[in-house]
Amino acid sequence: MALKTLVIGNGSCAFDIVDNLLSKNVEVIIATRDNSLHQKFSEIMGQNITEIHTETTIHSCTGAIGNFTISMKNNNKSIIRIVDCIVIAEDSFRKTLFASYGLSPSTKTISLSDLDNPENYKNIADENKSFVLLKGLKFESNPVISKEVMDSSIKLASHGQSKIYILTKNLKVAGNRLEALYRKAKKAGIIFIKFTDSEPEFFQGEDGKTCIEFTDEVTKKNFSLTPDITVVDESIVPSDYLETLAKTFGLNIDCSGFLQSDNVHRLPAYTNRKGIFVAGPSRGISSPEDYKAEAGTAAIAVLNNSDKNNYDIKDKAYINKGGCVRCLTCYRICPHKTISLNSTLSVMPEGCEGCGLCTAECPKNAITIENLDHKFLIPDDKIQNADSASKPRITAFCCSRSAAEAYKLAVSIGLTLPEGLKIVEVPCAGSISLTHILNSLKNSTGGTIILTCHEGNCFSEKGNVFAHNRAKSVSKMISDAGYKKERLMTYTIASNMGKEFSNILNDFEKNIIDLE
Amino acid sequence: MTEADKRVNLDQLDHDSCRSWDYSQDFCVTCGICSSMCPVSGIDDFDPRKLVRMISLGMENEAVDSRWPWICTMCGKCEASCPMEIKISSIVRKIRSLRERDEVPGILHKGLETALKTGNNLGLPKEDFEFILEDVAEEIAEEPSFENFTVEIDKKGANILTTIHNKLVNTHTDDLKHWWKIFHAAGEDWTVPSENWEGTNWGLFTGDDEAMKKMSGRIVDHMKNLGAKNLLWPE
Ligand code: SF4
Ligand code: SF4
Ligand code: SF4
Ligand code: SF4
Repeated sequence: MALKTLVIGNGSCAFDIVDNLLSKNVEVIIATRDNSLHQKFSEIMGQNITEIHTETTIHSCTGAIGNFTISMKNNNKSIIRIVDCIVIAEDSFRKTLFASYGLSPSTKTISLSDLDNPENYKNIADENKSFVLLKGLKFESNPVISKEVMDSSIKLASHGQSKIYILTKNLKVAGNRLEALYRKAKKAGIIFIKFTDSEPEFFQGEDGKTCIEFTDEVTKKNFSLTPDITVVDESIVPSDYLETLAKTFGLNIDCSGFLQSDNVHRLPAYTNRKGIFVAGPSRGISSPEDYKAEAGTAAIAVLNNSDKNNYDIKDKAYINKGGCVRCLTCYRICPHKTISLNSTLSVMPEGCEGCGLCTAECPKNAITIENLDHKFLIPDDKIQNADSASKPRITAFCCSRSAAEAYKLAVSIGLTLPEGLKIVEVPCAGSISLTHILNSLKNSTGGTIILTCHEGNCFSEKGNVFAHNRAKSVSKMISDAGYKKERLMTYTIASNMGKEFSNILNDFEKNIIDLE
Repeated sequence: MTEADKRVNLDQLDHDSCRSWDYSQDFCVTCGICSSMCPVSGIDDFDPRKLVRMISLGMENEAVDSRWPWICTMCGKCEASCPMEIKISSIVRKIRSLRERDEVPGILHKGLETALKTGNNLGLPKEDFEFILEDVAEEIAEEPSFENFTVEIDKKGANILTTIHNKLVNTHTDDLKHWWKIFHAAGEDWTVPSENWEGTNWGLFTGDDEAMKKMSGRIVDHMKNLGAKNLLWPE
């Protein structure tokens, strides 16, 4: 059966994704808030786009990869569809920055989009002689905007205009081909005026023209500019729809509101939820070429799920219905949104990452992950053996994505580690429960150390934070009980920090020995 | 006059006025490396970056009227360090060349004028020059193992013809002795012209190509007329 995919979006990137998927015989459903489909789609109309829903918003989404149930709303009409995967590629928006410069839009003071608008371009370029383009003077501008500003200026120059000024703060040219573009602009006679310690002043006349006064930072001379046209730069912001989509799908957003958290473990196209992908202008700000590449990546990510027999459903969480009291803790905290809420709660294994956050947090211990729990049950006899060693026994809980890798690195490059070290590798530090920590303290002669990913870098978003909070509460508990809280420590580490791993463990051992 | 009155309306300037100058000035990224290398940066607020900037903005007249280009020593350190390979000392020279000749700073202007008229920057008459050379030669001849030292002026067909820097026959005659002694010890066949012997060429510093050509032409003439085989032009 063909893979069925819902694509949410109505711009070039969404189009590229649909085009890619159709060429691989994926059944595509398009849902867009807009009232008509972007004209690009007309090229592939009539091919096998299964369905197109304009003026349609997403109301809810249940299920997991391979079996999402989507409920959509089209003017009060409800549409229900079942799909395998979902791709979000909503266009971002341009925000004009007139207000930040204290200017108002007019025929003489226009935005970057106004200048680039093919309908007006010829008139603007023909009828005016001098142009000032403002770039990143109030807000650091993205290289995409820098490129547009330089491209537009070069276009004006090739139109025969000779007085073109770019007023800019930082002009970062590290991006793809930007330095060459900068040289090209210089060659075309465009004059760059850079501001590092000062800012120009803006005055707008009755006629809408902008006059600019400044001190050139190089020559220290005072200048004024009264260009025929002042072009104000823009910033790029995520679609306002993304916030709603993030809530509906349970997706994490980054600090600017794009649909993929700032997390080293999130590869392009992937979200915190299996089977839901994000691309292009919904994921961040990039050049049109990069968006095109991302559309391809998203299509490949979808196609990787063609064979349902390959879905990873081993070692996933399982809720023991008898034990569950429906407190909904697991449902709320599951970072990968794969616990379904019906008459009973159950884990949809296709979407489960086996992180163990739910197992550690369930107040009734009603959730288990095969091959996970017994890893923590350190048999007593083994510990007795270890006790015969002269050095204190140290249990290190290591997140598989960071600390366990750092440990392997430390071993492979031959760094010293404590003699009595016992490594307990866990899928995510969030799976380390209070019981685990207390058991470990009870069974270890020396101490317990928890090593997690750095903050903001947890594959399960907050697993590390959970681990640190639990350790904090145990720490208080044991010190209230008169036990040395130095026997329980937490650290964050990254997979490439073998040396630091060895240092942390050796220092920990030394401190434990000093306690005795 | 207030600050505002002094404000230059940038879009009224002719940015193209210096565009034909082939020194890559438009590629300046205003990094300031040149200014940090320049030994005279800071004197009267001068630094090479400012000049480059003025030229790329088309402020030709202002640059020509300014004292800045004349502060530069033409050492070329700026140019050697510029990441954009801008020919900064050529820019300086070009600006200097655009000044009315009688407004070129006094000492350079006078020296060059004198050299063009008399054959050397000092205006030293031929007899005085020959007297000084022979006097120096006599002093050398008084030293042990240089007893038979002489200077042969305007000798035809010598192996080396050498020019003279005016200070060597003015305040630094001792410096003349050093290399004359080397000639003698090496058994070299050498000569000095009695006229137009000036080795310095201040047309370089004033940006005066015509003067440079004339001064160099005189030396070429010596080589031809005296039939010297090699030229020593110690500048
Ligand atoms: S956390 Fe445990 S008790 Fe609470 S709903 Fe989930 S499985 Fe049931
Ligand atoms: S193991 Fe992790 S992903 Fe799986 S159900 Fe529990 S919290 Fe969700
Ligand atoms: S050539 Fe002139 S401007 Fe350049 S470093 Fe030397 S003195 Fe400074
Ligand atoms: S070093 Fe070159 S690029 Fe840098 S400021 Fe000087 S002239 Fe301009």
